[in-house]
Amino acid sequence: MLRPPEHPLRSLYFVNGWLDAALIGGLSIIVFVALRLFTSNHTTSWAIETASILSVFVNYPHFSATVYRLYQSPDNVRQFPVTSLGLPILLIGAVAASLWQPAWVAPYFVTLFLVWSPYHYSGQTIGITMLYARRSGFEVGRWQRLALTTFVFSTFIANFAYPRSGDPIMRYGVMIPIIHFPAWFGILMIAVMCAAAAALLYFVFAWSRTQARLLPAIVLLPAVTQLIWFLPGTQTAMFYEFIPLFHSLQYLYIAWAMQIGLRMSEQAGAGAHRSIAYESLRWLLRNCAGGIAMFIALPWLFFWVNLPMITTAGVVVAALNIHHFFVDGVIWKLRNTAATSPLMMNVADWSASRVPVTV
Amino acid sequence: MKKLLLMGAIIIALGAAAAAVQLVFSPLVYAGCPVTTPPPAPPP
Repeated sequence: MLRPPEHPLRSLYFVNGWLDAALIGGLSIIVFVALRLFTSNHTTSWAIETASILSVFVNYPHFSATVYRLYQSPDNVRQFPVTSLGLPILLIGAVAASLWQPAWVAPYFVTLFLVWSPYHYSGQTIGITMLYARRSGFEVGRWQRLALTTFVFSTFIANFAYPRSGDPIMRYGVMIPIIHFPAWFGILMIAVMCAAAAALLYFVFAWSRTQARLLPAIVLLPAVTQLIWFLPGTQTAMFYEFIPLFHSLQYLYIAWAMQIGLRMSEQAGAGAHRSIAYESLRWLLRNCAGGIAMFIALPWLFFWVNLPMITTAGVVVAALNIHHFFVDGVIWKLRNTAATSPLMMNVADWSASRVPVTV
Repeated sequence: MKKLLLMGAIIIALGAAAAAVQLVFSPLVYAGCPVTTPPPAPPP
């Protein structure tokens, strides 16, 4: 996904420390602390409605951004034909089977989505940590990577193994089978998580001592953020509603940096003059429209199916999410013609492409 | 600058209209289910 920098980086951050830290997890931590301190532990309708309104501007565009990145050029489609063309056909088949057999197929299809989702969160946490580690010069070797991935995935597994009632739960209008874990398993995973955290901190201190400087906090911010989202965050009812929003915000920021980096590099070669602000708004507008089409319009196309709307919408949402998980696995591997990987650039590099930063 | 303001206004208007439709009609919002990738587990 990443190449070593071809020239010394002007900054560790894409834009600046405050904005990067806020969008990568800082803002979510502030909101978590505020909701934990000042609200009761019950979800209120305003939280659901606020999260729902914000999802149009953040969550849906985050899905659309992956689709846009993959399908925006025929060359991308040719690089990953199975994901680009085969996967949608497979998912249409899965949706058809789920709607045809809502009692037999839909529960497993929706469960696949619900299990894969936290795995996807974890993958994103590791990816962003690796990105900032590379940008800061922190070498992630075999053991550092093992400590990081063990820590991140153990937060996911510990959360999953948390003992809860043995009854199946209703989600998206279908009964979700419960996966049972023995009580000791959750405790074991917490112990593994603590051991991995200790190992990771050891590597950080060792690096800081060798380099005679502290490791920038943003390198560890994604892992800390995931810890809060997955453990105390899921126990805080009001905050729980906003976790997908913050995951999407984190994703959108990196995807935006990628898109702008690519566009600015291309335009520098072509001599085109477009501002970063213009490109950003154009990209956001397309992704807002794409997200609305995917999550508001598409589920309504199934109005004729003789099932409760929540079930058809839930199955469609599961398919869109699974498509996102697959596509996310390939879009960061797409080849580009730019000399420097867009993910190793920053706002100063973009503006150096003879493009005005402000308008 | 004019173009930027126009695009910003379109995004806000489009998003507001979509959010209103969603709040009124979405069965997932009624049911309190997150309409996008959900967090790992519901609060017990």
